[in-house]
Amino acid sequence: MVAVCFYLHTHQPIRLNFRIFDIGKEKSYFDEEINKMYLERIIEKSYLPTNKILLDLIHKTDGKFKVSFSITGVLLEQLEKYPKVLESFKKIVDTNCCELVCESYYHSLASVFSMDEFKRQIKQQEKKMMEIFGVKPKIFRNTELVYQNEIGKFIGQLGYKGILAEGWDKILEWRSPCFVYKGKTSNIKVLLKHYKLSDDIAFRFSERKWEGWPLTADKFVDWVNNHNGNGNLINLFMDYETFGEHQWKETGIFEFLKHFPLKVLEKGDEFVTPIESIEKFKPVGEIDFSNIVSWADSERDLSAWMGNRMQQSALSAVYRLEEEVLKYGDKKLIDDWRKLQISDHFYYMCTKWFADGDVHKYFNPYQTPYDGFIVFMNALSDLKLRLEYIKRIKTNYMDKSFLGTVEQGKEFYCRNGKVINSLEELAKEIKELDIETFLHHVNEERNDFANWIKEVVGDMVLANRIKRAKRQSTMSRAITSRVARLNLF
Amino acid sequence: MESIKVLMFGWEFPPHSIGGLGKVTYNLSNALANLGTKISLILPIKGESNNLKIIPTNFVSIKGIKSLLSPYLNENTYQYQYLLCEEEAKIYGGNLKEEINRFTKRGVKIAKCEKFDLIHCHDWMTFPAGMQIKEFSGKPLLLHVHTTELDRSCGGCNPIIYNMELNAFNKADKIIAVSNYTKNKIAKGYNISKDKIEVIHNAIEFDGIKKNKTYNRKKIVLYLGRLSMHKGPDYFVRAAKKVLDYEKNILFVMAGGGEMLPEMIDLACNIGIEDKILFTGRLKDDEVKEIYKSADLYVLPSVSEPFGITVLEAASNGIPVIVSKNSGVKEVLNNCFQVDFWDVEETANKIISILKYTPMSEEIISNAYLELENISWKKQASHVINIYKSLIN
Repeated sequence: MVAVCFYLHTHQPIRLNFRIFDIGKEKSYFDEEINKMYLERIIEKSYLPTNKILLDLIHKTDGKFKVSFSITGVLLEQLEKYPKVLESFKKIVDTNCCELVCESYYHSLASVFSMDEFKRQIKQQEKKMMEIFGVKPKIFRNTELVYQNEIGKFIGQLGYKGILAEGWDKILEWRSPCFVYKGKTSNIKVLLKHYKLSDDIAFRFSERKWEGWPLTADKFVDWVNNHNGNGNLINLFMDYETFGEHQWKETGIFEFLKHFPLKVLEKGDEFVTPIESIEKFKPVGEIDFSNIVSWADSERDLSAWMGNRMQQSALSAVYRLEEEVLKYGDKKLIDDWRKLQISDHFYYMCTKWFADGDVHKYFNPYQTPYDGFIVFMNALSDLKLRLEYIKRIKTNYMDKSFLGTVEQGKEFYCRNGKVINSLEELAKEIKELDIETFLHHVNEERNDFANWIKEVVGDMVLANRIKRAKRQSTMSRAITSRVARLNLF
Repeated sequence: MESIKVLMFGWEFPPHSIGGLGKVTYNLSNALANLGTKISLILPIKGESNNLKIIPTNFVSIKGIKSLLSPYLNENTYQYQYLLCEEEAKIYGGNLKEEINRFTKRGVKIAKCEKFDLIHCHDWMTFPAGMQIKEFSGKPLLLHVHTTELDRSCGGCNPIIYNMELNAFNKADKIIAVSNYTKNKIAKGYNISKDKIEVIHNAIEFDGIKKNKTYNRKKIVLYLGRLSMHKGPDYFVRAAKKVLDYEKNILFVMAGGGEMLPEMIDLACNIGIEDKILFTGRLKDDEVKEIYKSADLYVLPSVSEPFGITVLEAASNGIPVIVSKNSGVKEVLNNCFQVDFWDVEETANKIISILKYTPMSEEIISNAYLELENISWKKQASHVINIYKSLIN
């Protein structure tokens, strides 16, 4: 008897849309329209029909069929607008035949660049999983199955019992992925993806040139069953979107999904969740991942994310900001910064296969990898600018120099001819300004006073307050009280 | 096997060329000759036909026909040429159509004394000659389309030229288009079966050597090409304005002559960027080399560009390129930036971004070089020879 561990990685990125002219204009980095379009397509084509099949399978087999998911925080966030979909995941989780696996909230490569940041994103994901599903995960899977000994050790220290990794031949050598192993230098259990059988479904299912085509449930389950005697655990790890998106409905993938679990059980084999597999099977030995291995491409490395100059400079630019972004505690800024860490942004910049016009086109919302880089760098430039402003607010919180008269030539010129050269004067004048002049300077599109205070006077705190004010009296009062406080300081 | 004898009609030949066509004819016929094809090339030339000064080539015999014809003519520009040469004008046709008739007659006369297996004509002015020669000789006719009236006219199509092309496309045994973009244009715009049209992209001779760049304090954005409506020079000027509103320290260079030059200078003055944009007029070959050395970015915002060989030249000189989506060259050079020609804001966005985020230029150029290494005239010539063979047998 062999045990099948069926794990689905579930994630949707948040795609960017940001031109150079948008920098400094407080525009969102994310392309709401496009993201909505992709998400709704995938909900219809994949999430809803697949979840229905999975739930049916659990009922039909009296809970003998088991499945496990990891769902990234950025996807959960996006799905909050679609309660029906979240509900369909919850129903499966509530059967107790489904284990939720943890990963980094932002589907990032933080584990390669900053362990501290990596940990924070894991904690954030744990919190989200508790909030939505009421579950505390025991097993971890890293972005793109990125693994090495150090990561295993780190994850073990966070209290996890096991971690998923690629069953890559170069690591395994003569050994089989069909057993539980123990990580080197740590106690963590390593579950290795059976990439041949997993990819038969995920990549080759509809490949007519493949000798295994067409892949029927019977044929596949025979291959699984053949492992009896040579191993006790078959780890089928793949993207959730395999069902209905990477493999369209028309390929027969849903029929396959409906039938293969039943056949597995018919043969006398069984399903397990990752934690069950660890409890059930003792590790047969230690496995040594001295270098980083991922589940991607024939190289099983990170070259699709950091293989070229653009990717490297974008990644180092975003992680270089870590300390400063976190220092000032601005939640929105931190969240945006982390959303720029979503690994997909860097994947879109990959040029490896670009010249041959290969697979990546289908997944890439941008026309070329270069467009992906431009939009990313534009957003990052804006983020840096915001960081700069926040820094100024926090560091020049109280500064008496705001009170003096401004440099010659930088006075505020009102439309009615008045010239203002200090905050005190501004407080006085603003109150007495005719409404027409006021509306010329303060309207839907602009707030000249706030800009002048920000750019010329340099008082970011006051500028922010004035930006929100709509009436002359409130503005005047805000300036007066600020002047009074600065005087006291 | 005995070598194939081709009667080829061209338009211009270096150094007497004002567009890409001369370069293409020169390189292609040379590559064909090197692969053993015998070519007799008939060209319209200005001035004395027995005093034909051209870059020497192997195995290509060249015959000139004294004519006022040159590529990129239209009725108005022809009239202008005609008026310029009063003295000898009696031998030339009084308008473009007459002049083409005259050229055709002379061409046919030469053809009667030649031995050849097939006729290969480049672009519309030579099509009537090709058709008549096919008629009396019974030899197959191959048309090589570098541009169609639909590309050149931007909507204001000349019905006489269009019909001349239409007629020829129908009579031809085979058509070579310089891109899939052009193939589709011929198929849709002239209702010609796609089976009749083969795509053979233009090429360049790429040496793979990284070019030394001259250092400039200002970043230079280059437009190089004739200033004709279908090349979209006005979109370039408008994008320049958008860029300069955002980032002052950039210089724009418009290299090329053409009927829209005065209008473009006007436009630049009207929008107040005349001190940030240089108009060089038409450049000589060595000047082009110099400008390629100093440019940081090449932009070709064509409304319709059948191929766009300058894009390959720029890339081979280590310059990243922004090219219109309505172009053929992007079919052979994936590693370029693409824009909708009308989307001036996006063009400006790209220009600033490319100049600002330098790792991208390095990346795109090293990837473009990998693509250019696979491109050569020799390869393309061998495809042409395969077409010759299929036509003869």
